[in-house]
Amino acid sequence: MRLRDIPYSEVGNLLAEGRLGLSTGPFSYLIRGDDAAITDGLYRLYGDFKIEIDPTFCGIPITFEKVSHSYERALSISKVWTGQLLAHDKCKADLIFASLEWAMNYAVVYFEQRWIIFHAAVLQKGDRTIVISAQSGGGKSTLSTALAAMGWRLLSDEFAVIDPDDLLARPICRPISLKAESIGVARAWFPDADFGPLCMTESKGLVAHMRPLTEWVDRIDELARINRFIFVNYQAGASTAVEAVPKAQALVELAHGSASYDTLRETAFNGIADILQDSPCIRLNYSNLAEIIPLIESDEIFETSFFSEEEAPETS
Amino acid sequence: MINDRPANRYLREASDVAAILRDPDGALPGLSQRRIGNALHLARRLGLGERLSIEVLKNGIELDSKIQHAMESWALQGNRHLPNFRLELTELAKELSQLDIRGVLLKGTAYGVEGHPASEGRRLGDIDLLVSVYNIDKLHQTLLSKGWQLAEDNYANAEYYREWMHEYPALYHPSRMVVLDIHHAILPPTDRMFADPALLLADSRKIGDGRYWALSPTDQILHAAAHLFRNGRFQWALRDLFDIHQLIACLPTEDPNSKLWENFASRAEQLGLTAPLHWALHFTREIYGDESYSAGRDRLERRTKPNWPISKLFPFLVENSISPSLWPGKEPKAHHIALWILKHWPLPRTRAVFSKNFWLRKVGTPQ
Repeated sequence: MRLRDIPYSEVGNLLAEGRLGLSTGPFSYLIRGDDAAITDGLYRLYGDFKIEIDPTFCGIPITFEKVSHSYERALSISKVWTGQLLAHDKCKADLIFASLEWAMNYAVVYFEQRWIIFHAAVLQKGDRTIVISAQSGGGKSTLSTALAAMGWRLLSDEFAVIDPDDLLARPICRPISLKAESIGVARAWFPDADFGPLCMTESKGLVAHMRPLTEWVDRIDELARINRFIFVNYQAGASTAVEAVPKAQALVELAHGSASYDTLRETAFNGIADILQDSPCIRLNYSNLAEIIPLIESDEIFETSFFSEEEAPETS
Repeated sequence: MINDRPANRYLREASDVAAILRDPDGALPGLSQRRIGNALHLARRLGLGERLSIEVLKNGIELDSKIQHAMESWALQGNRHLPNFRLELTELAKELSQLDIRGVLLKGTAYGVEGHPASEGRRLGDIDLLVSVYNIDKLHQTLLSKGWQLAEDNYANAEYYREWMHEYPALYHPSRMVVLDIHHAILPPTDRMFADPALLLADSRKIGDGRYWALSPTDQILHAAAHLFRNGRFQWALRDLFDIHQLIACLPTEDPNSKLWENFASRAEQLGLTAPLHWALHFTREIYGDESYSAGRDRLERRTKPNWPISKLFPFLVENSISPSLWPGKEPKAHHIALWILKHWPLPRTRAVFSKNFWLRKVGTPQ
């Protein structure tokens, strides 16, 4: 059963009672909270996802606890828990939905240590599966939205989730978290897409979430073999620069950005190394999407060698 | 059959958690997937998720894939703590041996270094170390001069700890980020119970490869009990009681003529910890115990029993404080003050209230 199959009014009741189990790929959430913002946000952005009422088990419990009731809704404050951990201490009413998204991310890092997880977007087209890794604010979501607009299937915008047993990427298809100008850009590419509430946050500025396309969610059980890596960095005004990244360096960077490396240790090391073996890795600095999208589309960009023509090592 | 037992008055919804921990092979076949899932859900809230997952996976029972994956995640997490401490323990041991100080590890880290069954899947927050009160200044200063730093910048709180607590302000080394608590006693000086640290140190023994020491097995139980019932919080009570349950189970009792329980009683009296010992014995029996306890243990439990009305009131208040609820944020409040008083009976000395740092630390004065 999908979330859109049950009436809106019932979703609110189920959430208030903590009976709604929501699955996003390998992760399942049990969300409990009595607030219209949660019901509304989930209904708008997670309509295509599988749900289970009174599920046998959900890996990640998330609770919203109202601590101050106020006649002014804007003044009411909630505590957000993931399991027994306090994810957000004083959550104001206008941040409720953004806070739910963060709690869902936070919980993945804390609860799902058996998976090789790193902070990256994963997209697929044909037999090409690209991991786009970036620092926060590095233009990862913007680039993945742009590729999605070119017909790439989005497996995940926030986390690359890999099963250490078969080294295949698990789609999670969560809504795309967009910041500031990217929101307008994404709206232009996806005029029909639904967006979550605009939230003004202290740490990230303006944030909005884009509903994942129904097609992506329908194919959520289709696993993918990763075979391209892009370490991306957006700099306003910068000219496009591409360089190849040595495998060892890529391994270190991926391990560094991995949430479960400390727990999985050798398993994670071997897993990442195996995937990197057959995957070209590049570092990409960009400011102009129009320049780089065709390069990625044509796969040309991955043919960058370590040495440019002039610097090629002399062979005698 | 374990599963037919009535729901435990302390555990209520979490009865399955205790059943699985007590006897995984006996309990698991009788449990549905939903009940196993719920048990994991609750165990995670009680600080027992890692251990429960390890036990369930070891049993090999067929699980739903979601439960299986969650159990794998938690079992892996349970085994990551001690390896992460290894480097810190090595560095600390060097400093201790240079200063010629006996470093006695307390609680979780001690179980881990010793290889005690209680350490399996046990979460470790920080390294707790007990040293003689005569050495603690020297050690603390040396560590600060060798690159360790105070873990917090609230100067008044640090001073308050130095003056009024049984441990010095926490340290950590920036390259390893493991928090180190150095104790000179197991109870704060404000507590009217005084478990003489000199006696504890005198009975300590070498563990592991001999770089570290631990309290004697009975003192470990007394310390765990004192920690839980005097200065601990009840949030992890079921985890702490499970520690105690395993520590007791591993006491050497093969020899029926051994004076184990009698000696235990006199040790508790010597350290002034009879009441915490009684509650530790009482609650581990109520929650994790079976009916086959030895007469010696029963006698000890009766002998250490506090007077009426504390003996009646305390279990009643504990009952409403440690039973977990499925959702967070519903901690019972009504009994907290009464429970605090009973836990701290006889009431602590109030001298600390008159020190300026007691108040300044609440404001927070950066160094």
